[in-house]
Amino acid sequence: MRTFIMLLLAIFGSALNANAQSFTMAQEDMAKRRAAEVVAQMNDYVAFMARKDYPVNTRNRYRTQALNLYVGKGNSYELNGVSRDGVIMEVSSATKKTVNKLLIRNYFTNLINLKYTNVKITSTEVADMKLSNLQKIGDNSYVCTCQFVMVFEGRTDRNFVYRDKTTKRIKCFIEADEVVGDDGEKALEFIVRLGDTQCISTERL
Amino acid sequence: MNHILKMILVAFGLLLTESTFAQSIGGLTKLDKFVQAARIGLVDEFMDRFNGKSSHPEISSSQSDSRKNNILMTFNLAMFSSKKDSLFIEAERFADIAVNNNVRLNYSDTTWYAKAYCVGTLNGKETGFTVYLTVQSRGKDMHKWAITKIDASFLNVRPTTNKEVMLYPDDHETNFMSLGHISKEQPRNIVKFMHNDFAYDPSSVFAYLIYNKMLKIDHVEKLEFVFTQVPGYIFTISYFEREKNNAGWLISSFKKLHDKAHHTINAKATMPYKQDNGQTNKKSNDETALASTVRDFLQNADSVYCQLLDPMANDTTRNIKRHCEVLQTDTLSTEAAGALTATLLYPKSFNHDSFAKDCTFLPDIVFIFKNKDNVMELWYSFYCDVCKLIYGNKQYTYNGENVRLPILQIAMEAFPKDRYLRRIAGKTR
Repeated sequence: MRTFIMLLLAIFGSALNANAQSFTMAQEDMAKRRAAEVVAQMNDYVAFMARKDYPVNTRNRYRTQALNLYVGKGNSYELNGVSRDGVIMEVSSATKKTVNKLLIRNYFTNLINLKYTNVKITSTEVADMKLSNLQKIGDNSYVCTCQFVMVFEGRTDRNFVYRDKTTKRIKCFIEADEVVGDDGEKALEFIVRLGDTQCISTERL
Repeated sequence: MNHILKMILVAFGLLLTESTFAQSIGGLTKLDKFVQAARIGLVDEFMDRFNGKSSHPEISSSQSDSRKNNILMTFNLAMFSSKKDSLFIEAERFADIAVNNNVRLNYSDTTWYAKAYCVGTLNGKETGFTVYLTVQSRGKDMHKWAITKIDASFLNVRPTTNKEVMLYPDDHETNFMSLGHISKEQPRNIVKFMHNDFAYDPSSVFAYLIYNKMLKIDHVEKLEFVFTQVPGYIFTISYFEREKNNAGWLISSFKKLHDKAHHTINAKATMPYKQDNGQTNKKSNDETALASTVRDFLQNADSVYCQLLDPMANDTTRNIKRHCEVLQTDTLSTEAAGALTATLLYPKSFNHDSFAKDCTFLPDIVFIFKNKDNVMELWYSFYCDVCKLIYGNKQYTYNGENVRLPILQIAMEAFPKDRYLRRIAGKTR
């Protein structure tokens, strides 16, 4: 079922708070930190999905949780009034030297079904991720880009090991919502949704 | 300063060895972490480094010249052979000017733009083209990237004939039957049938092709950003993927400009400029094609000599043609002169009728063709890939992309030891 995302509405400011947010440095840092945390969370799910020592249904559960982090939850979504099939993940291989574009939901399915007997994926920690500055796209909506590195290690039953390191950039859509805490204090809450991922380079290790 | 020189020595070729950082932490080694921290992964990060907002991990912000060192580390250090390299000395001057003028690069500046080298398909055939983009304000602190210009050979509508073709003055009496002949017989000379005021705009044609799904943009093969904020300079950044402490978005080229040129470039970068092809088309046919007088002269030239130029020499040096200083002069061998003439006369050498380059013409070499007392000059800029032919009081400007390689080869033959030529020849290879 198609999921329509409110990004367009956010851009025109009709659905959200009409008062434009203007961030302090601390708030911007907080928003970027939140984006990095969501990317790290996605990377964790990716690592879990790939693990062969977890049962398939567990890995599928991680797949669902990971998809929830993306715009449209990995399904079709609408951006700027245009419908898209889903968020794209660029996938590369150091041996083939090509870059393919896969829908994120298919990428995750492929990850679960990898032919290796043992797969280990590690990624850049939150503190080491690189984030671009927030760019405002609507009254309460922002985008930024997060760059991280992912190291893939796959082992076959014949003990052949394939290892590569990929540098990726992922678009992060951020919505800032003003919330009132139990103490009556107003605070900003950042809702991050992940977008397309670009593959910068893949190097065989 | 010693510290930065030490770092530069490392970056010049001494790869940080894996053994130094072999300890593995969760799949990413210390080397990975160091390289990632040193790498300028995002354009925003490049700006922060340049502005002194963030630092290269090996540069302490407490250093007195940390900003200058940071700027130097934003250069692709592979372009310098040593710290004594004249290009490195120029880079230091560039950094000094940026620091002394407190130059800051900002995303919202109108003085920078992107050049996206795209690959796509036009009518099912793969083709390449360049899309220029600038940041445009949307109001309320919001911005967007907007296409300002397209550069593509397939957008060329240069006529194939120098003959005068036209619709006859009495064609109105025959219901303009001859209009049908244009598309059947002379589609490639369509601009010759247009009014003198006709201004051909390739960007509009690009929009039409996309609109009608005739042109599809597949992917961006290469991306560059051009900055003009540093007084007297224009510089380009490109992404360098390598496991060194000098990697990511780095200054891949920079050029010193004279004031007038800088002013022009700033103006071009500031506004979403329209290509000046219309003006080109308004000129007579001789000004857009290799004129017959030029061809005749080339064929009958007695000798050709060439001069290697420094386009940015100051006024105290011996100048020719405004700002250029002649560095070396040599007479071309008969074979080289013949090859050059053949290249210039080859019909496909200058097949870009309407082209516009966002580049100040800074000639690197001039070939002087002599025939008795007459002289014709061919000026070439490797920076812009543009050439100018000057004959008598006429000047013709051409897109020199197709003749770059032969000209470079001939120049290399004449001046084999010139480092600048060697460097760009290396890049071309």
